[in-house]
Amino acid sequence: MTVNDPFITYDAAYVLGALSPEERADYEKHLRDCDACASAVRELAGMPGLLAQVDPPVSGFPQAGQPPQELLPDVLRRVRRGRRLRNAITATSAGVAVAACVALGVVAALPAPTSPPAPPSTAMTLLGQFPVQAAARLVQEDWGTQVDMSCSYDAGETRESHEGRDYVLVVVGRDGTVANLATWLALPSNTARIVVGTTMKPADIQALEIRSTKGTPLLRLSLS
Amino acid sequence: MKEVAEDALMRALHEEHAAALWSYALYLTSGDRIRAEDVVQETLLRAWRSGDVLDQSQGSARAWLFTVARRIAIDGWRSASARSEVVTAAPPERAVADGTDRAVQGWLVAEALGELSVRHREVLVLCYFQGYSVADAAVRLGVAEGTVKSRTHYALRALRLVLEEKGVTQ
Repeated sequence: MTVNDPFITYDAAYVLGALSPEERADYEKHLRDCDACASAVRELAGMPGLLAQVDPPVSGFPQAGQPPQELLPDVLRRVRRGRRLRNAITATSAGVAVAACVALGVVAALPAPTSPPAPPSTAMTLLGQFPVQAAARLVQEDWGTQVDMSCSYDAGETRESHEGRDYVLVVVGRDGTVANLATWLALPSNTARIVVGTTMKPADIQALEIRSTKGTPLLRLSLS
Repeated sequence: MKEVAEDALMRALHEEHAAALWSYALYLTSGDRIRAEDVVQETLLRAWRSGDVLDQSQGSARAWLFTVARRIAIDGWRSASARSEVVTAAPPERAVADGTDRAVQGWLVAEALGELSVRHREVLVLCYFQGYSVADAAVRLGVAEGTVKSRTHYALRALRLVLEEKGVTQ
């Protein structure tokens, strides 16, 4: 390829298949003798394959648009919400909710370690007027699912406020099976955090429930 | 102190990627702005949780984010639904060049085309997507055939550069 090589700009039209048959033949003949042009074609040879992955443009190619103005404030709020929950858990005194642990569960009713930061949990839905609230998250693991639940009990000024209550965390499978993951004694104005494993995969879990020891569901987190 | 740092991480993610994610999310949701915002929010949150997205090169970070956004959109993720919490925050595969996520790669190529100059883009659209010959494209554009050849020559190289920046290789 010399400075005046008439074929110097043919490479792209060639790989795109836009040359006329005559030009194509001339260019291919030229490529046999011109290393520079041959190397230029090799550089571009993969481009049609990449272009082929694009849906033919209907309404033009994407231009980066401006996302809604409320996006950043919204997402920062969600960051802070997750952080507040973690802080609340960390601040909770230890030993409040030492649980009677069942079969495959391992209960760690301890203040959260400072790291790594846990993803925000999802609030469980109250199924009636109960003085309790909870949030949980599920993380898929190789062996099944890790459930991370925090539950706080606030009986206010009622006569029950000085008593604790027994709660059970159960997992409901999509096939209808119900397994107890943990039971614990919830004390007023405290938050229990329970990290427990189940061999069920997240996809097999329909819901988590917190029940009374009599079996009344108090809170539920549906997974679909 | 930590709170400021966490906010700063999210602000940086937003600054760097929100506009591109927004375009992609609108595409994924067929222009549904409500769902698109959900997809972008959830994608940014997962990036924020996983923490190291900003440490990757811009190109591979973009591919990571698009892959996550696409999954979220496809899963029919709904705002504040529990399902999103089931998914681990583990980063998906970073490489997209092996064809495992063609849809994402296709989007990156489309996005790269969108970043070209109008002249470069139009000549590639004509000669590749619409199958024009050099001669037909010259008539259509009202320029000499030699101009069409040199425009495709520069346009394809410009595209290649943009794609390399995005971590897309052949």
